[in-house]
Order: sequence, then C-alpha cells, then structure tokens
Amino acid sequence: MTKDSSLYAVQCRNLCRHYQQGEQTIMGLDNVNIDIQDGEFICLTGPSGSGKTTLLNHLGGLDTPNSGELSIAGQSLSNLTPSELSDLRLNNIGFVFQSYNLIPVLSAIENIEFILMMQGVGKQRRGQQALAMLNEVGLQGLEHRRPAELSGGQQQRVAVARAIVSQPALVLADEPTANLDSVTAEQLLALFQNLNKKLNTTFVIASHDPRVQNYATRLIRMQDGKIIEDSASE
Amino acid sequence: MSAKLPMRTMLSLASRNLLRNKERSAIMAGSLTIAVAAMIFLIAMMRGMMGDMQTQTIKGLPGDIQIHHPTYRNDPDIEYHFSPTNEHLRSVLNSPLIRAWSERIKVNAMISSERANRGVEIIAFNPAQEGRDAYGNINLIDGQWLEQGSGIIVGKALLEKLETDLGKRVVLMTRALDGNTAEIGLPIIGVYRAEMRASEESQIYIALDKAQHWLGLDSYIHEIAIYVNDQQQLSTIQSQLQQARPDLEVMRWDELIPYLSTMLKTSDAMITVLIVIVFVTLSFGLVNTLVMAIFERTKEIGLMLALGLKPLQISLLIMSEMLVLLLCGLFLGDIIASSILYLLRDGIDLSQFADGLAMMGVSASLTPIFKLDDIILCNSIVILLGLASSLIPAWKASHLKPIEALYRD
Repeated sequence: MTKDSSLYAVQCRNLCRHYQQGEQTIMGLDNVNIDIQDGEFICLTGPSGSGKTTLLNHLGGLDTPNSGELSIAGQSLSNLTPSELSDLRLNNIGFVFQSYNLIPVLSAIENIEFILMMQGVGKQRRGQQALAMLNEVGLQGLEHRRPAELSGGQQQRVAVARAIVSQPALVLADEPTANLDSVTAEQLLALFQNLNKKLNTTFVIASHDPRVQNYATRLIRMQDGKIIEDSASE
Repeated sequence: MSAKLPMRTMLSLASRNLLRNKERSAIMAGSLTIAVAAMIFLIAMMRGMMGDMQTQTIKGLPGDIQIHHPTYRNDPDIEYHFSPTNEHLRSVLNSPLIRAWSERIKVNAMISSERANRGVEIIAFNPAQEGRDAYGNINLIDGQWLEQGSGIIVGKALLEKLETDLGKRVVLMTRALDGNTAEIGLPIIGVYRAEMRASEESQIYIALDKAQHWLGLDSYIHEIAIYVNDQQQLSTIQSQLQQARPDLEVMRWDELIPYLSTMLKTSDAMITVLIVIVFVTLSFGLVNTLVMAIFERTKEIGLMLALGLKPLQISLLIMSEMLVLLLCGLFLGDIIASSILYLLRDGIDLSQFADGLAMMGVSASLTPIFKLDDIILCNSIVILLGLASSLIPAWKASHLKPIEALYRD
C-alpha cells in the first residue's frame, strides 16, 4: 500500500538518474526511496560521487529524474511546469550550494534580501530581517561588502543566511561547514538546530563533517547512487 | 506566491551587471552613441537639404499658387494667354487669405549682345504689384531694380556669357502674338546674383507693361502668381480661385513641381528606412555582445532560477540590461547631435560644391533642420529594435536549466 505523500515533507519513490559520459553510463541515483517527515534533521553522507549532491538537486526540484516519483509537501514534481517549480522553490525551499553561489553584483545584505524581495516582503522589513540574519551568522559590519570582498567562509555564511532568512519548510545544504572554522561551524549548526526545533524546519544536509552527524537526528549513507544505510542518529 | 522582481531592482541589477565589464559596456554604449548622433545629424542635413530645395523651388517659380491657361504648362507658347479682368477672380485675389499676387508674362527668347547670344526666359512682371521680396532668391548686385517701362535685369553669369556690361543695350528676339518676329533693344539696368547659377544664366526680368506692348499682348498675361499668408490654407484658396475661373488651370506649388512634393512626402519614409537599416546592422553587434555577457554569467542565471526567479523574469532582466544600455547611448547621442546641430545653426558653407548642388536645386549654404519629431522617431526605433534584438539572448537565458547552468564551468 502506498503511503499518503502529503504526510511527508519529501517522498521519493524509485528515483533513478543516470548520466552519459561517452560510452559509459554513470548512475547518479539508483532506485532511491526516501520518506522525509516535517522537522527531520538529516545528514546525508557518503564518499565523493556517491550521489549526495544529485539527490539534493532532485529534492530541490533543480534536476529531473529519468524515472521514479518525487513529491515535496504533497506536490508531485513531475506535473509541475518550470514556473510552478520556481514558485515551489521560492516558497518552500532554502538552498546552500557547495560553492557559495552568491550574486556577485549584490552586497552581502542584498544577497540575503533578494529572497525576501522575491517573496514580496516590504523593503524596511526585509532590511531588518536580513540584517538580523547576518548578525546571527556572525557577519555584522560586513553587510555592504560584495562577495568578492568576503573570504570563502564569510561567503558560505552569507549563503546560509540567505537559505534560512525566509524560514523555509525545507533547507537543503551541500557541505555548509566545508569552509568554516570549527567555532563558526558549531555556531552555524546550532543555528540550524534552533530553527529545526523552534520552527520545525526540515534540514537535509550533505556533509562529510562528523559534527553535522552529531546534530542530525537521521543519517542516510549513500554509495554509487544507492542508499546503503538509513538510520536514526545516536 | 510568485517571485516578485520590481522594475527598480531590475534596472539596478542591470546597471550593476553592465558595470562589471566597463570596457565592453563602454564600447557598446559608444557605438550606440555614435550611431544615434550620426543618424540625427544626417536626418537634420537631409531635412535641411529638402527644405532648401522646397524654398528654392518656390522662390524660383515664384508663388505658392499659380494660374495659367490650361494648355500653357504643356506648351508655353505666347498664344496661351488669358485676361485677368474678372470681378469674381479679383475679389478672391484681394481676400485677406492672400498676402500678395502678381500678373506675369513668361516667354522664351534670344538675347544678343555685340559678342554673343543665348536663349533665355523672359519674366515680365509689374514692379508696383510684385516687389523685390517676391524674388528673394535674386540679389541685385549692381544697377537698379525694375521700374515701369525701364530696361532689363540680367544675372551676373549671363552678363559674363554675353561679354557685355551694365548700361549697355542688348537685343531680345522672340515670336509676337501675331506670329511675327518681335525684336526690341533694351538697356541692362541691373545685374543680379542668384542662389542658383542656372537661374542666373537663363532668367531675365523686364517690366510687364513693356513686354505687353512689345509682344502685342495688350492686357493679356500668362500667369498670375499668388502668395498666401498660411500654407495650410493652400487648398482652400486654390478651390476658391478655381471656382472664380473654371476656364483656367489653378495649381499649388506642390502640383506644379510634383517630383519635389513626392520627395518631401516620402522623406519621412526614407528617413525611417535609413534609421532601421543602420540600427539593424548595429543590433547584430549588440546581440553578439549581450550573448557573450550572458554566457559569462550562466552560473549566476542558474542560481537566480534555482532561488525561484521565473524564466520570464530572467528574460526581463536581460532585456532591462539592453534598455539601460540603449538609454545611455541615446542620451549621449542626442546630446552630441543637438550640440553639433546647435553649432551649425547658421548653416554650412558648401560654396565649393555650388555648381553640383545647383543641379539638385539646393543652395550653396545648407542649414540643418532640427526637428524634435525626428529625435523622437530615431529614439523610438532604436529602443524598439534594441529590445527586439535582446529577445534572442533573453530567450536563451530564460531557457537555461538551473542545474546545468549552476554546474557549468
């Protein structure tokens, strides 16, 4: 019996994604099945090339599977137009990409405000929210710097602030602590945990970092595009 | 909730993106500026040339409306004359719509001096009726203006061809109304310079009463020339005159010189075609540069799509970059063109090319005509074509797949 997809933040069924590299077919995702409930804090781990980023891209509606079904907040992604997918991402999902991916012509605060502006939040309110979020990630005083004037770690923190400023239901983060010192990484994960507890935000974080595994309530281990372990973290 | 991207933010993003590569944007804006300035300048020159042709032609007729015997224009024979004594016609001619009018005789004749002879057109008019103002294109440089029964006024060029001088007598020979040869010896009482060398060589002026007596025309004439107060009233006056004398041919200047009126009527279309050709050519360069700029920003466009911006908004963002660039180019181009035209407001001296220009019916001094309508037309066409050309890169950008764009090297 198929479980009701509306009960889950994310539901994947037999998700397959393969890439052609010359003659060779590479399996990005191989028959992946996951049910993620609202408020879960998941660490997606596994070696490089195991399919973590590919899975995150699918969960965010950025990539299309070759086969299988994926639904987010009860909505099947296969039926959505590019424009509807844009709306889904804007209103439900926060992204932290592996390489910081900030808009280079916008300052740190403008990058954070960009999401709120797209959501139609008033100028004054979004300014306040963005500034508060920038302070939360420890970047007070750097709000008017452009990405090129920030270090890798600082850019990463701006990207994190942008992902969570609108308090999305689902946050997908790809190696968010990769460029951070241990203190900042701990602070960031504590912030994630706080949001998770306070607002029931669902986090799916792809990471090799054992600290992330410590914060996670569920650990999914991947290898060669397959889920080889799916267990509640201790 | 759909993504919102206010126009202000879009223009701000567009400006910042353009400033990322200042050199490239400056080259693009620079080529637009030069093209716009050159276009506006060329249009003003064309307008000036056409306006001058119109002025010179009306001066050469002269008259805004002319009345002739119906056969006279096809066969300017002395016998195709008419009598102006008609009360109805005179009442229209003396109406407040008409500034001035004049009766004329025009015949072709042979003029002979002691050394040479030439074919000329004799224009006979009443000096009391038609003052020097009517002949604004001739400039009396020596001698005196016509008086009743006096001699003739010739052009400087004709004087040189005849190898004669002011005060000397010349002989005019033509066919009189009775069919016999008519000859008369008259002194040269004045010498004029005309803006058109061709007129200076071929037209001589004589008092109407003298010509009528000499040619046996009594009070008959070949032409009534009419000057109106308002060019907009030309057609109304024409129909009133035609009603007064249905037996005569009443024609406006634009009917008398149809090629010029056609040229003037088609000038707007010619100007539009010229602008379109120049900017279509330019837009190839603009599209290419914009495509390159987008190619360099593929990852960023992918990010915006991933964050929730809609494909249409990406298109608008790219088009707004083109719009900002177009507005900069237009603003500078308009200022440069206006400044050049302001400096040339007194005209450009083209006397070195006077002979060639005279063949085109243009005077040796060309004053560009600066019309706001032309600037508006030029700017509108540039904006429309520019935005149309940005549709291709905008379409390309909006059809990027976020995932492919995000991970492109």
